[in-house]
Amino acid sequence: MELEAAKLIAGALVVLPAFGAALGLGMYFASYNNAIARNPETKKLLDEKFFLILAFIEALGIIPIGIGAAMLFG
Amino acid sequence: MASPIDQFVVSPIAPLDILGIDISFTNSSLWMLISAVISVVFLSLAMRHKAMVPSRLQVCAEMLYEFLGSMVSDNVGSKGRQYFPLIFTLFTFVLMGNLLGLVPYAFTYTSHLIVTGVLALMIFFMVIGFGLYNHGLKFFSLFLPPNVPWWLVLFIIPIEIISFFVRPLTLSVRLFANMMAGHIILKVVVSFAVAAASMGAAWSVLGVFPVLINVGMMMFELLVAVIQAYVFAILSCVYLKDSVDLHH
Repeated sequence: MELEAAKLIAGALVVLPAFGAALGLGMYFASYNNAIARNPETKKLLDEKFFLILAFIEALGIIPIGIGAAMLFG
Repeated sequence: MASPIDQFVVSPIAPLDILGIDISFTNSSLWMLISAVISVVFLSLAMRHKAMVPSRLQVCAEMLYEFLGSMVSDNVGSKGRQYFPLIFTLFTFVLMGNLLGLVPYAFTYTSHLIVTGVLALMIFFMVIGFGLYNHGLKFFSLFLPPNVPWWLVLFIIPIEIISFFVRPLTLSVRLFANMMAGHIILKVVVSFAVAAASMGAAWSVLGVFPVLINVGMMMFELLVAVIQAYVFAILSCVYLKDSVDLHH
């Protein structure tokens, strides 16, 4: 297999981790909505760390894409 | 068609090397200068009158100040007030870098691992430095959390050491990858529109869809830009907290 073909395959495989990040985000937002539905007073507490956790999950999805893009186009 | 990576090429503007070291003034440092000038001008303009009844501009500056002040006091505690200027400049620098990067033909200096790596290493060595300065050799008790059962100690210490040394890596790669991947996606999507247009007049009507997708991506990039700057600042606060008081 030539390097070029391997690079293209690697470039495609690199998007798979976004599947995990999508699952993570779905579960995170579902639990966020359930928590607020159960007890609306917790909204203020949850909102403090909401964006921090959102960024962590988002980062896990984007880091492989960033590295893959660097590898593919680099 | 330029490949999506071409937007990250650092090209020197004023070549300058002393003692063989190439420290030429590149477009990356140009945009760092622009972001520094913008934040200085904005803050000095906003705080020009320091009126008791703040003008709208002054409210913006105060909002930024209070947001970062509460972040530092929440995460680093009262003894952490000394780190507030560092976190303030760090946040503004990264935020301006991310936001200016969304401007077309601008250069995002935070999309280079070297820039985010240097910022993360600065925080990392600062944590070690202040930790040793404040606590002396007791700083290394950081790697042994309190009341850990004795048979677990053998496993906890390597894990704690690894998690301590992985901090600058995750801190820098998170910001770098977010910014770089975001800009690559924008460039790739827009190249579809160019390809549709180059396929002849009838097909160029099709080119409007990638542009619409890019409107959504740009909004998402704006969100990512602000959130990544916030996460970088708040994690720096959390890491600096280790050097202030060892086990919270």
